[in-house]
Amino acid sequence: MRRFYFLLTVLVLFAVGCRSTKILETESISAFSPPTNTIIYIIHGDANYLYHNANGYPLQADEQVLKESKNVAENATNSEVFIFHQRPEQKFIWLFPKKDRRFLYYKNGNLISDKRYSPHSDEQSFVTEAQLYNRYHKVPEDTAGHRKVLLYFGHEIPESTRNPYHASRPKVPFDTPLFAQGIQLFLQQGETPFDLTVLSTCDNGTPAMIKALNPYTNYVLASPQNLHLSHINTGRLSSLLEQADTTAKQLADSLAAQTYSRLSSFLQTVITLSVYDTNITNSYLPSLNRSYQAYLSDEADAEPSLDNTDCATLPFFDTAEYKKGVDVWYKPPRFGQKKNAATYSGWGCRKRE
Amino acid sequence: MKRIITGGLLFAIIFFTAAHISVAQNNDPVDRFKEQVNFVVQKVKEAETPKKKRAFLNSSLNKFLTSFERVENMNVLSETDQAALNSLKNNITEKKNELNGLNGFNRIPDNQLNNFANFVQQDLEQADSTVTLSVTVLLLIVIVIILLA
Repeated sequence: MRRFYFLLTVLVLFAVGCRSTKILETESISAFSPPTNTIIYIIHGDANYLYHNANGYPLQADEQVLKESKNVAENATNSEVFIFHQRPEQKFIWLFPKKDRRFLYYKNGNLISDKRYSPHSDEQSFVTEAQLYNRYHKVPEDTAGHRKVLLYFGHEIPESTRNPYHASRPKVPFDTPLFAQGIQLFLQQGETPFDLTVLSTCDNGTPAMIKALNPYTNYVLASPQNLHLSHINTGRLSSLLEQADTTAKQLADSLAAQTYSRLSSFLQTVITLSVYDTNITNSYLPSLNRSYQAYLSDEADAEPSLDNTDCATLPFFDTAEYKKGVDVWYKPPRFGQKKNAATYSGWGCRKRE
Repeated sequence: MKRIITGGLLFAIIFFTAAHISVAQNNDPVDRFKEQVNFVVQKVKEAETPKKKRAFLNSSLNKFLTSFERVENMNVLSETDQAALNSLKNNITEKKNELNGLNGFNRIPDNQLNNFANFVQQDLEQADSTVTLSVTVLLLIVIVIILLA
């Protein structure tokens, strides 16, 4: 009988070890003064994000970004910060879905909520994330002085669904239109667009992505070429937002400049960061996108390259027209075919070859 | 009765343990591939002379290319895998050419070999081509690389 109780205890300990929900709720959220900024971090961790630092030490890029975002949240004393860490969805004893994704909510530097969740929709993106967001976010009375920043960290968001994006949910589609629709869910009725959207992903500074995000954001910081998930630095976000007069453009430029400066110190590969003013790019994006799509159909017999190339190297690109509203931080790679490419237009296109 | 209960509980414990172990172990072939690349880069940095650095880089890049060819010859590749593998193959071939000053490239100077090794690693770790290769194909590549060591 003693053995039976021993085995039962071991079994219970195993079962307790499998519990995945941790909730730290505070009911006194309203006691805090209304935040003047809203920051949303969406960190994709459902793919391979292993990388090695200069000393060969292995790091998980999504975990690094999570650490940085928590640090920003703790120091953002006049902001609310939402952090969504989209970890791989696992199943307990191969049957029951575990709540693997993590949601953190900070208000004025205080951790209000820390909970686990699972996605609810296979057809739409960010449905559960937006539900959690809308549970805590209140549309501010003074929208004019309230700044909203959305940051996405992951690998390239494809123009249309092709390869599986989420390693643990390979059949769930994810592409540029689904991303843009998902972003829209974070904007409640009557809310102004995001001041800034940051994409720390490869190859997303493209005509298609900027066109898709245009209705939902005033500025976009993205890379039209390769950029690692861990590369865009947001460490200064909280101090920049402490200053009430920092504009969205200044915020985007500062993040780009800081990232460029850090990456230049150790990166041998290309660095390309573009800041797009969507109010200006909107005037020519339909024509740019049309020309690009026409180029792709004309060269339909050739395969599109897997990585982006500078749109300015393609025949349809009008450099004088399509550079309006785009600021670029660029450093060519130290080695390789493109090491002598001194300039970059700021736009990324797939080349048919 | 006691035996049945004990047996049932033992089975349940083994089942739970297996579930935990399957989650805890990291068998991701992308990780293994990146570890192989990292091993090469660290070895290049440790090598005492430029001659040894260059030789090790050359033999390692050759090993990668051989593993790609062997996996290609197995005829197990889907269209997507083939495209991703071609991209990876072109990438490594181009780096080998640059290392040795072939195909229009200037040979990498001796004092730049450590930086060049970093370039190879950074390029492979941020490019999506390794991620888009299927798990099976990457696993095969890693196995062949290990067998060639």
